Amino acid sequence: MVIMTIMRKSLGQRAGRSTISILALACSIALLLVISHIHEAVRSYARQVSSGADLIVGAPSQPVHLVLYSLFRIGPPPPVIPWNIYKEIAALEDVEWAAPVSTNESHRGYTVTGSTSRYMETLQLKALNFIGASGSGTAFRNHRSAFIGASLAADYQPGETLTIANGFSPSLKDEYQTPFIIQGVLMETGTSLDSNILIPIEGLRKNRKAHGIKNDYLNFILIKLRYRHSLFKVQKVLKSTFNTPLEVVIPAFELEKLGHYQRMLNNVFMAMSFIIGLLSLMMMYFNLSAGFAERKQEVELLRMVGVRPWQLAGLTLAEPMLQILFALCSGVLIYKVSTLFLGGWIPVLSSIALPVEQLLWLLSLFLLGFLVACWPAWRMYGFSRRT
Amino acid sequence: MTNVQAVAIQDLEQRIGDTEVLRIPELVIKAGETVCIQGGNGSGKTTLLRTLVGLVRSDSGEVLVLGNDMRTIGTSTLERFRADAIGFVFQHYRLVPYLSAFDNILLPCYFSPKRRCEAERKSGTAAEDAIRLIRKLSLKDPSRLSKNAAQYSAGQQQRFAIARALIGKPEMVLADEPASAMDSRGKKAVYQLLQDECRASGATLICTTHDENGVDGFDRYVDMDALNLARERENRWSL
Repeated sequence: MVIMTIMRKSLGQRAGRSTISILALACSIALLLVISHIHEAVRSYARQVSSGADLIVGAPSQPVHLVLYSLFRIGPPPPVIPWNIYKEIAALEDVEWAAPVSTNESHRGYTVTGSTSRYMETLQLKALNFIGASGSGTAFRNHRSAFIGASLAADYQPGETLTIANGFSPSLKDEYQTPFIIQGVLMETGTSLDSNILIPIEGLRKNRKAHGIKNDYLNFILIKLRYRHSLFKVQKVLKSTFNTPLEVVIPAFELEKLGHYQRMLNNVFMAMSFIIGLLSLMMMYFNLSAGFAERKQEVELLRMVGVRPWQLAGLTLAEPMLQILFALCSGVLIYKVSTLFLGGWIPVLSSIALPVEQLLWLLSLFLLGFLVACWPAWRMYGFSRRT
Repeated sequence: MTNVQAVAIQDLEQRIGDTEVLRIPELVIKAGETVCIQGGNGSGKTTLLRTLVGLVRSDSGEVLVLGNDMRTIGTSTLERFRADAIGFVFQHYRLVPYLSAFDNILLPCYFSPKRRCEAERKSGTAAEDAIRLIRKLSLKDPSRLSKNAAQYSAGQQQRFAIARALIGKPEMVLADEPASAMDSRGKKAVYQLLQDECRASGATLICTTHDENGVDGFDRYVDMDALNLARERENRWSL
């Protein structure tokens, strides 16, 4: 099949010039896919995490800040609220469970989070247990158990003990006497939780009492309701019942507000990568058009030896289509490799596969490329017929 | 040579824009005849050859080539006719630069089953026929034809173009300045090969050249300056 040889060798001859446009197209495709992937992964993670808790209660502050800190550990911790509030909330009929969280202690600069297993489940934390239980699980074995974040795993061994202190710049007198024993290591989350130490809040409270702290406190409470339809009612009750001023937020609502900005940002990035894709297609088109003038004599010769117009048009169409196909495959490959690397860095990204709808971007670029390639092929067909 | 007409031109007129480039009242070339058309630059030799193979369509007059009316012939008939019956040597050889010299010579056999059969009938395989032709063109090492055509010298490329035109025994060979890039020895070999091959196969040969010396052995010599009466042509180089 000499036509195939002509196509292969002709492609080879123009390889240098084509490489840049193929690379640009591949990069824009990879960028499109990576952006879509990050967007989808963050959205799905936020949706999952926020669906775990119906309400979050904390000291008065910006609702978005409270949600971001309590679910994703972004921003500074909210001010403390009295422990009694938790007791009263947990006793409410509409409340299925409430998870108190305290982040006021530290160990050698690492934040110590005191909470319950519910909190760990809500944040979808997974841990490798080394003591007492095989496999994974996030249940504290006893009041002195501790889970360390993934970043601390290199410095601490399971079974080692660690002591905690009140505050973040503690003096010797702030140090609590009873040590905690490392039960396991939390799997990487990509958030600042990776450098946290999680301990049971009951154990923390005992330590505080032993240290002489009388007024117990916590930073925020996650609440799951028995019935979702009582959401606004409970929110209103919580805001009005207590003497202490409280912020009671619905995480799903606050995340939805943030989601709007995230979508906007995502669309801007998507549009930019799509424009890069279009530019590389245009580059491909100009390469083809420039080549067309050069190839007129070659076409005349091929016509003289019996090559048909549709064969020449097919050659002209096949060349850019092969380039686009190659760019698409390379783009997908770059995307796969980059998500593999990004997945190690931001574990949330590994949690989803790219939805099929995102492949529409690829299809639309391919179709656009086809249209771009059709024009020179049509010109070639017309020229061949006249020759 | 027979009395059958290979080319019959009557009142041919050809214009490019407002410029009249060809006006030939009459030209008849018999089948099997070897004809050399001589004339200076711009005398219309290339345009005449391109008209004979349908690369340009004449504005008026009658052009019959091997019985085909080149003014009315359909596209698909023309492409089959050219592939099967015409061997054409372009003025600047026009080899496909990224194909090997060997593939360039064999190109007509890839697209015309008739010419492939003829080449196989003559030498066993088309490839052997290509080597036979190359040997006749005084190439020192005809076995080394695997390099891309663009890597050979101008003279060698011209030889490949001639071999490409001759392979598969076409009924008519048109050569536009086929030896322009060669020394006098090469020129002689080229014209000799063209004449020998065409006479052996009974093909009609039409060569154009601006050389007046060293072009021997043709059955007939046509002076293009006398043949072409187009007015524009006469003033082209008179500045």
